[in-house]
Amino acid sequence: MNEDIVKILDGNNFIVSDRRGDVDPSPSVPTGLFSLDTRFLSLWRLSVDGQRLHALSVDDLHYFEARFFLVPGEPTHYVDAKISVIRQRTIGGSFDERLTVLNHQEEPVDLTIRIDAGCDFADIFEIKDVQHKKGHITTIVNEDRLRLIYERQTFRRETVISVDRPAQFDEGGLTLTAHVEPHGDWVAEVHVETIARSGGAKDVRPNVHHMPGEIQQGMEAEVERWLSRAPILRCDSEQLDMAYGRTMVDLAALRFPILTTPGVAVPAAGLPWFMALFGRDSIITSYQALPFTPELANTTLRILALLRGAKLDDFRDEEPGKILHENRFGESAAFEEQPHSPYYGTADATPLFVVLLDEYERWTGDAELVRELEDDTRAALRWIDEYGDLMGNGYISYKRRNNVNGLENQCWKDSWDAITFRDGTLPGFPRATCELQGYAYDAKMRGARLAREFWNDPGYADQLETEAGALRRRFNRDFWVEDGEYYALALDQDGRRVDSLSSNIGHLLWSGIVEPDRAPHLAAHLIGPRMFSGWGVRTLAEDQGAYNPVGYHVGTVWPFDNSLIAAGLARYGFREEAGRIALAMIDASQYFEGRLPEAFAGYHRSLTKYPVEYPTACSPQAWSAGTPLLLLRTMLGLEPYGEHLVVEPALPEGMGRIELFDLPGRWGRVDAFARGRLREQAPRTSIRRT
Amino acid sequence: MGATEAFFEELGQRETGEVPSYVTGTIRFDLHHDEEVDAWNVTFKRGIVFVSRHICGEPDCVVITDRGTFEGMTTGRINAAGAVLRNEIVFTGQLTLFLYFQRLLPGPPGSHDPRPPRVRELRPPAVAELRTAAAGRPNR
Repeated sequence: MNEDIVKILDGNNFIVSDRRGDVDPSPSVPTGLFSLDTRFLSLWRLSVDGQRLHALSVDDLHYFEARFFLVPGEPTHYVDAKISVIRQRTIGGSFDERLTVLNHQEEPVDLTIRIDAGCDFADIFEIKDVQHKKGHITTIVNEDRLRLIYERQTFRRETVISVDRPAQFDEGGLTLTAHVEPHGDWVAEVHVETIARSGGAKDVRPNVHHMPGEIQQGMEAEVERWLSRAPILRCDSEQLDMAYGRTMVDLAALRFPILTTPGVAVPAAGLPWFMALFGRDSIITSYQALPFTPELANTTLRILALLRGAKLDDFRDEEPGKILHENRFGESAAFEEQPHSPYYGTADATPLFVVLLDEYERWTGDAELVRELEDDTRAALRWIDEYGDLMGNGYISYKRRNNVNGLENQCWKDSWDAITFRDGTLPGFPRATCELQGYAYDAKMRGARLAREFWNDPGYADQLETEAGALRRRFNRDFWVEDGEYYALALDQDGRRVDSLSSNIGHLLWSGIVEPDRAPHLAAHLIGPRMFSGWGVRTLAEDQGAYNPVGYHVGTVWPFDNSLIAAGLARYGFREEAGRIALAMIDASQYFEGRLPEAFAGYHRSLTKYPVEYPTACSPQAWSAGTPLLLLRTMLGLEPYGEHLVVEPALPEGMGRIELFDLPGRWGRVDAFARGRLREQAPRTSIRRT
Repeated sequence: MGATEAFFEELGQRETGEVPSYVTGTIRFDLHHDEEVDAWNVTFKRGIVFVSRHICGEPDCVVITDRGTFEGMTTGRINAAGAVLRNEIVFTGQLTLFLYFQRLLPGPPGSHDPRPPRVRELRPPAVAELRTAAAGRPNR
């Protein structure tokens, strides 16, 4: 995203502005104040005596707080400011802005402070073309506030703007007069409330209606608590240190409060387009973060289980037992113009849900949750063989029933042109992509463990293991591309191999469905020149027909993808190859101040001296933020073994020393240490330190 | 008998399996029509759904809407989540219970099994089987 954009956020609330703190309508970037996937301010412009301001500097104090240092006039005219303005804003249950005007002269000064405010109440899905609102906007000017109200039938959203000083409100904003003594200051607190209720009803969000000061203090304390509970990293690599620090703050920022349980949160997928609950993104981010913050997985599993599919619904691509893809709260979801209430159009979240539950128990020992979620987990396992097996051939495949605005590709590579044959042509539907089969295999193996150890059902465990074994044999027969020595990207509706060489083969290693004698071929491809750019593994090999170094899923490098690939390589013993990927990712992160973007271009490292960010990538993006965590786990070889954490490091050359303190888990808190050298170090069990 | 009465009567006789056994609590539905309010109580306990018109004590969740909207939900014509966002349904108390309740509602009329008939025959929808499995599991 544009570096001139300033974003602050708190879960489902965020504001995106320019470097002055102003919001002007923009068709390409979702600027404005957002809550519940709805824009509550599309115009927010500050001027002093009729002059716009310009920014001297901007401080990101916290992810929910920013401070702008401004002076009147355009930069070219700037000589020596006689006054300056500090604009400090906080977002939480409401949006609050403290305006401080400083007079630098020997004389008192009288100023007119103007805020132009307005709102189009756009749904985040219609930002690019807010032309045809079906409801109407009413503006109510009161003595002490300005109210902007959007109504469409019973649907009602309202923005209320007030200030703690006498002000003149009109339909286009508010005007204040400021008398500032010589070398004195003048302060006004502007308060913007977003309301999503009608009549006397309660707001649908649990976290609104706090006082501004409380929000700020509460959130600062919450960030402190979050960071103080995180394991401590000490390492030689400055890049790794920066990436780790950035990750923990970004994961704190992306925590998305859930409506059912105040005080707990799941990772939202990314700012600004994906500030919502996504099945796949929340599961994978929680998985990456398990050794560091297992609470994310707990909440993610609970909410996804609660919202699992229970009926057949073509519009939402919903089936019983299926885990959701995306949940939204805007006008288009309310009026069923978009299917996100919730939308179930993904074939991977359901098996990945089972994978996460098992992995969560292995780390935390929380058997209680495994028992609580038994029914919903059985429903998920059942979906794999029932509605997931569209073609009756024993593979999960997908074909949307919502032909209007459902997703064509219901896997992580969900752009319309992501799944292609080697020659670039598109297969028909249904499509069975290979990684889905890996996830299904892993879900069955892990489901078997849960059934045997926690559900008192050894018969079901045996059945799942038998099915997993059969799936593995079938998969290795049907998906293997002989002339390329890799697994096909997918099978099409006729069972033909969609024979592209793609990064999906790395996920197969992660899931364990690969026969060991084939793994060396995959490793060679993944770190070979066709796939490895020097900055990471490309989504598609560079000699494939559809390859495009800036194609969203057909040539770019995705950090989260690389984190799973590295974990997969390590699972099959390719620690050196895994380390190369880890090192490349951590190198890349330094060009983004430690914050890995959603994706970067697939150009070779020798061509671009720095990784080129994908044009409209979200940042921060949850599973990119989670990437350094899974890479750390992979490099250190962290693996729960019974009640212990085994540490079996294999650090890439140049990584130096890594020390992690206070890793939480069923063992209490333990430390893990490693020194950089290529050769694997002898495995050992960490010392319990409770 | 109206659609609402028919829905609740059928619900009271259902063996569910759709609501996990650890979920416990009562929802009161206040259904407005003709300047009257009909109250219905739905209680979840050990995976079983109980329906009654009268209740002792406070419900854990209250859902207020008009009868027309509720009938739309019970026939699959109105999506409950959409109705909440449109402010047509107002709730207080534990939203979780209302979300579990939504599992008991039918999908939109005319929705399809995604599988072609040939495949469906290989593995018929086994909702009944799932319910029996949940009900027949030994207590822990």
